[in-house]
Amino acid sequence: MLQQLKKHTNKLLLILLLLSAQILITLALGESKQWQEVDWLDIAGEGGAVWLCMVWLIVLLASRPHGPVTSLLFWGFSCFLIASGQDLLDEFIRLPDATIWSHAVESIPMPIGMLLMSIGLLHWYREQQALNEQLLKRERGNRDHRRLDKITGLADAHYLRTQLSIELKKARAEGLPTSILMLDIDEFRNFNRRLGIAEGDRLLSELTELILLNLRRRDLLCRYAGDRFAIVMPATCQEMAVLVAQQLEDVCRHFAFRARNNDSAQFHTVSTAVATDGLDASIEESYVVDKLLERANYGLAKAKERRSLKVA
Amino acid sequence: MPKPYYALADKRIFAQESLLGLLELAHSRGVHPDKLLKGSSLFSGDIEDASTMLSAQQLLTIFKNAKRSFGADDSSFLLGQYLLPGNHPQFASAILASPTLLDLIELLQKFGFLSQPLIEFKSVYDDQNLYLQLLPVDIDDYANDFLMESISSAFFSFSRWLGVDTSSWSCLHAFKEPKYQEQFLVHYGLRPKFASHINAIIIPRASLSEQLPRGSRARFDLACKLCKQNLAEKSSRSLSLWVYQSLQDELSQAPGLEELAERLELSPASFKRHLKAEGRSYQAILDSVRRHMAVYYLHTGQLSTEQIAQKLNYHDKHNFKRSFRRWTGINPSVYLASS
Repeated sequence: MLQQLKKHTNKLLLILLLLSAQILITLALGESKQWQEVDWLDIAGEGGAVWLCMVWLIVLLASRPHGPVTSLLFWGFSCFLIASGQDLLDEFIRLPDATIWSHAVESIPMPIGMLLMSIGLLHWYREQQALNEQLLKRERGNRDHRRLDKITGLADAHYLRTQLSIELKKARAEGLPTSILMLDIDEFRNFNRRLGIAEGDRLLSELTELILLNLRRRDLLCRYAGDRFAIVMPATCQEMAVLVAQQLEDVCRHFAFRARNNDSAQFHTVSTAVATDGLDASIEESYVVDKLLERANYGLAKAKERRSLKVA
Repeated sequence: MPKPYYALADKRIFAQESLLGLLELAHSRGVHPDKLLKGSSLFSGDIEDASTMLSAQQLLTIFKNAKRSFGADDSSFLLGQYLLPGNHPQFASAILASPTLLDLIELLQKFGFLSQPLIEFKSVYDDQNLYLQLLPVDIDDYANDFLMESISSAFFSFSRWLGVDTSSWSCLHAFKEPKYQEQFLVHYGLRPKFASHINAIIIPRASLSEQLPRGSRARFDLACKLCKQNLAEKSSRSLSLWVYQSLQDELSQAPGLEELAERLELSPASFKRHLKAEGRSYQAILDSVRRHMAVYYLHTGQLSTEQIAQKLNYHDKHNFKRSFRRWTGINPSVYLASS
């Protein structure tokens, strides 16, 4: 739990800062009440609310990675916390009637918090639907459900780019090579033509599972576009990537796909290509991702060409 | 004499034939058909009746719905796999038997309407290339991106399937670059140039005359004859397209609105009204013709701005430049540099 919370240190510090600012401002504006003026029953009730809000906030942060849903829920809870916190402070401190501070802090954050929470929950719901089959090799420590492909449950090319650029920056700093592996199903269009798009979609999602099983824990699999997959391979040299590519080709070739209404197995070959970031300092950092993807795509086009020549 | 044009609201397209691909895609992606048909005044029940006819306008609406209701980025490209050879029996057997790519393209120009009622295929040649322009029946290059993506990917993947090497081709799209640029690379096999203000596929002349392995001259000719019989009583152009064609044919001496109305035996007022019903005006179509020709001349790179202005019937090059900026937001020289 602590490990998880460490990722959110910034958020926790921010909310602590806001709360202390709130207490200081209230203290500066008002004066403390006498002991006999204090209503202990109210304090118990409101104090309980504040305490629960804090617990929710911590549980939320501990259970979720970074992402838009976490931010929305976090800010929603924070608004609740601030509003109920002001309620509690009012029990101890009397503010002059003329100040609108207490009134504003009590009533404004509440509806905003509710709104943020509602949006957050809505997104959370959608995210959960999309993420039912979420696996480590599909997301690599970040979650953004708006970038998930509906068919395979994999992240799309946009996500690939962002992850690849993060990965490359890290790897270059440490002097490690990063490889990208592109994989494309041969004759997928003809398969779609013969058996229909629904079966094509099913083949894609089953191949996804198969590829995921054959990747190492640190690899990230994305659906590049159509029937093309891209795999980010951190700390991997060219030889290793080529070896994995060869293994994937073998595995896919032996995979017997069973179409609905058709008992005979469908076999497929895939073409692969590998590009490795050679830590070439002459390539400007912002271009590295494009260059790498371009090289991998080019390699794939060449591999396809070779294969079609072989078949002919 | 039959009318040389049809109206976009005329119901003359077989609903089942033209919607088969979209409905199948909707089915496999779990999208309810009524969501696709929204705003077209049709319901999924109507489609079950084989005699239901659609207007081009309705079909355009359905394609625009498709972009929204499918959501997934690859939908338009997958739809492309259904569009060619298509569901018109005679047209499909003709295109499958095309002896060469040139025959295929001429077939699309003459009878493409039978299978793809929303697109007119037009071709312009220069020394090295054929520019196959894909012009929607409502002459709107920008709003029909879903349709354009699916037709273009249909053309690319069908050509490859017939055995054509498309690696030296290129592609221009009028609309701006969408977020899913990778889809184009995988499905077209190349990266199109966006914001080109025309939708066209550029094919080197060398590709055109190669013999296609599945082709057969005899079957092709027979199927073409049957297509012709099918087309006999139908006019193949929407009013907007008819106006477009007339203006393009005589661009150096472009006929005015009154003259075109007279050729159609209409009063200028009702001519205007008919055009307005298709969402177009005489001036807008003239602008489109000039824009397309200007873009084409700029791509061939053989004429100076002055010469282009002259070809397009402009008084001088400054007027032409001003118009070009109005159409595209940039100067001809900037356009040229970016292509």
